Amino acid sequence: MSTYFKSVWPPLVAVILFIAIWQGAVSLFHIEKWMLPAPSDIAHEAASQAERLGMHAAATIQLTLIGFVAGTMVGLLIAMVLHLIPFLKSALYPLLILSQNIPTIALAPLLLIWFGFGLLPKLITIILVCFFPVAVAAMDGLTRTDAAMMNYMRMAGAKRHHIFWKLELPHALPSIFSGVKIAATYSVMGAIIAEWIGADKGIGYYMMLQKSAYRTDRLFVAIMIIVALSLLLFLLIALLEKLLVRWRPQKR
Amino acid sequence: MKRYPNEPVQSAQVRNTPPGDDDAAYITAQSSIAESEPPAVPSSVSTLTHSEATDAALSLDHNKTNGLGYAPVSPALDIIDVHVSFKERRRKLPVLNGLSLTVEKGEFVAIVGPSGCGKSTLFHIIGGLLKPQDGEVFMNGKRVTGQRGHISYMPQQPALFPWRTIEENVMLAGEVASAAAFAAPSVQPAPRAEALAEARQWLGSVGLAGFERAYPHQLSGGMQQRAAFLRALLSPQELMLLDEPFSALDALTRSDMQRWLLDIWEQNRRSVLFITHNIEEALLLSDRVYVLSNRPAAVLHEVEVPFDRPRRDEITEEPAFLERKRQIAQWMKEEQQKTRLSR
Repeated sequence: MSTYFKSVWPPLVAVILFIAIWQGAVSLFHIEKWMLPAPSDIAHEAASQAERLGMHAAATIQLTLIGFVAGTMVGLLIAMVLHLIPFLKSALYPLLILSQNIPTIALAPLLLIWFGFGLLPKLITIILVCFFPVAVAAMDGLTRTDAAMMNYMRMAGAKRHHIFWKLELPHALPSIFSGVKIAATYSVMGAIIAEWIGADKGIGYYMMLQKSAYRTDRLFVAIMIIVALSLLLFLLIALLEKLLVRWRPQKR
Repeated sequence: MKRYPNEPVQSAQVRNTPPGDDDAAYITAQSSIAESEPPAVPSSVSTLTHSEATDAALSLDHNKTNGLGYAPVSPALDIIDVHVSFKERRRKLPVLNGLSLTVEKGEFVAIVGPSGCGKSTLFHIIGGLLKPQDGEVFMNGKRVTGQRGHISYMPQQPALFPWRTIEENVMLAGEVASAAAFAAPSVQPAPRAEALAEARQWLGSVGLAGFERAYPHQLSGGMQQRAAFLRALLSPQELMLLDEPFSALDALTRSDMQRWLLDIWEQNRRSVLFITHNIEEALLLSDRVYVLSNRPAAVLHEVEVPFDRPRRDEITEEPAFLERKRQIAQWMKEEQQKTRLSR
């Protein structure tokens, strides 16, 4: 407990100090509220808007989770198929890398035109943002299988599916999780941007409304919610990793 | 245990018979001897042999009659005149040059050779990962050239899976090999609970009691090698391939493990092919030693090791032992000088 506390208190003090300076600076220099609201104003606004924010946050969480799960699945599926069919990998992997030069976010308006204002274009946006880190990390993990273990499996006469399920996949799990963690934070961003472009609820939609009204304080509240959401999803994945990857990673 | 003079001829006949007849003939000829089955045999036959194989792998006395009692038993492994060469920058690089060797049933055979003599290529041939350009591999009288899943294997590094507990690691061989060695759909591998009980029993008897649920990184190098050996021992295949299993261990652990391997093997005589760079280790453990030449490898000499079993540690002091050790060391030295001169 004391070691935990030791690692937590320095950043905590830094944050508190930062907020204090912010609060002091705003009142000292008489900064307009629409330019930079004081932390106390933001907290006050968060409390008064709680109900409305809760509704919007729930919509964003739902969108994020569906998109994140779908994106991760697509990423894993792509990694699996490309890994098991080397020809496909050599044909498609360069294209996959190349496709990441297209700013996925910029595709969102296009998707809106093609698929309307429903859930689908938003989901596609999140999937496009999410699948890549998962696919690359998973493929990387799958190809880095320990040579000695692989040699053992082959010498023991293991079939291809045995090698995949019993060796390659578990071996790639830590690597897959590092990709999934990145995807988790990306998925929140993807959801917000999808909501900016076309939605009738969600934190992204709320931000657009408050932007037009120059309600900087409410925008800050929205940003805080987004940060909290990203962090929460990340921690959830880290927890899942701890449960699934119980063995200590090899030091070699 | 001499190689039967008619062996290659016998094998050549088998090569020409259709697989079905081959199996039937072989079952009748060898009534009660344990076998591993190739894929795609008639299910009735494989059911029979599966149970036999399992019994044989576990019973401690089945080998007392094995290999010694029946005269014309086909050897567990018969490698006939294998040639392999690799292409390297458009040049042909011969690795195995007409290598032939035999492991009789229940026999412990060691191979010593200079490092880089193509031993891993030889193991890949036996394991079926590589197909030789010329020559054949027979196991129990059946042609298995280029076929996988007929051996149980213990690698140089333990290669235990870090995400599996020790007992799960030991059971891996059964999970993987049962499908490969007994591919007929009617044959199910032993139920998981049974396999687990068996694994636990064995772990206890090799000094790993209390470590069943431990992960490999929690074990010392010697203990990891014991688990890796057990994984090979619990494979259903009859022939065990031990690939320099003790080379990564310190001297003290190594001699301890040699003693341990001798004890286990002498109770449980499987056919073993053991590769090592250590001449003393080869003589201490095996019934016969093959000395390989430099690359391209062929068998240079074959040495019988006539000491009684169970082997005592003291045999390393006997003149007959020392004489053989000196002789093999001499051969290897000459071989090494030959390469140095040719360069």
